[in-house]
Amino acid sequence: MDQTILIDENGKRTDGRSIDDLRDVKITIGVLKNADGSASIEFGKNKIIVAVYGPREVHPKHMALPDRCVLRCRYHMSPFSTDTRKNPAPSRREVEISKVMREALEPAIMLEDYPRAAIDVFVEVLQADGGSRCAGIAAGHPPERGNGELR
Amino acid sequence: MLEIKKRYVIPGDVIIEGNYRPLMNVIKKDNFIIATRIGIAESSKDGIKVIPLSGVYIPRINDIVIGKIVDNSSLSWEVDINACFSAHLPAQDVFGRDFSPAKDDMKKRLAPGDLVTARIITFDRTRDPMLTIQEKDLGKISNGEFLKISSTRVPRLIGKRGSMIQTIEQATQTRILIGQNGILVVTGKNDEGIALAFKAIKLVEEEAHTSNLTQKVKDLLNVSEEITQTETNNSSVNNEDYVNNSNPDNNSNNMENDHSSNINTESPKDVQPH
Repeated sequence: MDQTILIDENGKRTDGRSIDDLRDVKITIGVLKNADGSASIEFGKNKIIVAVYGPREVHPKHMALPDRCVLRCRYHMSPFSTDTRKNPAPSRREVEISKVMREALEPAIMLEDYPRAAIDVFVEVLQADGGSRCAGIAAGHPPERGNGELR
Repeated sequence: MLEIKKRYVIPGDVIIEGNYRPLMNVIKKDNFIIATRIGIAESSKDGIKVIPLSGVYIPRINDIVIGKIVDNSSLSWEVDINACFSAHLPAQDVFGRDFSPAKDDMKKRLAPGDLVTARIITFDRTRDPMLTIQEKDLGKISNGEFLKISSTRVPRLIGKRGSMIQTIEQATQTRILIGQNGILVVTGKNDEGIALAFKAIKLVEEEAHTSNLTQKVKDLLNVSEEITQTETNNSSVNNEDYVNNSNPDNNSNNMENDHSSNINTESPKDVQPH
């Protein structure tokens, strides 16, 4: 019976990394001119771009909270990010990841400092290679904390 | 009180340990003063604060802002001041105490789309900021070119005691109205001057953090104006030369200078509301 070999006799993975090697990471901030903060991350073959807007006015108005800021996240995979074309409509998976990302980022922001406002985080996966949600959160952090203008 | 040197901080950085008063963009936790934004940490007699280097405009009381009239209800105008809250300008402020919604036509005085210079009189984050235009140099802006920059660059654009903005105004023969919210209105006699002022402002915005910026701006203005002046170290002498060389109308220029110094007294370098 053939078994999938994940780690060969030299202790290397199929792409040549050893068990404790990380994929190559490259993070750039301030990549989008019109966003209040932005970052791009390359994590292995993942390529993700993140834009942060705000604090800004909440539309629709009824979403605003009187005591704190609302954080809105959108995780989206581009149609060309995978081998077979991905339908650009938000899938169940993307909706859930958006929610998970929002909950991951919320503790890092002082939401109570900006009541009745909103912060929007847009995560666009240009090329997916596994672990894109974690990479997206990592890229979302620097622009959010400093509005990403530390060029 | 222990003096800390100005230094760059990122969110989460411990600025200092001890019994200090937290002011802007810092929090106090277990006797540590911690920054909450990217910026320059500063200490003063009152306490510790961080001057942000990035981010959107958050209204503060007594700020002079430039806003756009968006809409009006029967009692107030709604003004877009480039912040996360839209401001309100009460009709009584413009018409006086005997204002009546039936008698006075608000659209005639300020129509949607008009730009106004205004001062923020109240704001506490639980309610929208309230504006006033009943002061000297406030009110409707009749003409000029509109420009938006990041509000964090405004102090740099004004410079120490208004040096930067005066340099630009005098070299380009323009008058620049500055709102603390990062909205500028440039007026001038000729289009070339306005275009040049735009260039200089953009340079200041893009390279606000670099040193020797005043010289860079002067170089830009020098070259484009094609004034073959030998470089003088004293900037005031330099500016006077500009006026004498290229502007036959000196009176208006003096007025412009008066105006800029008025606005400069409101700059956050001088008055920092806590």
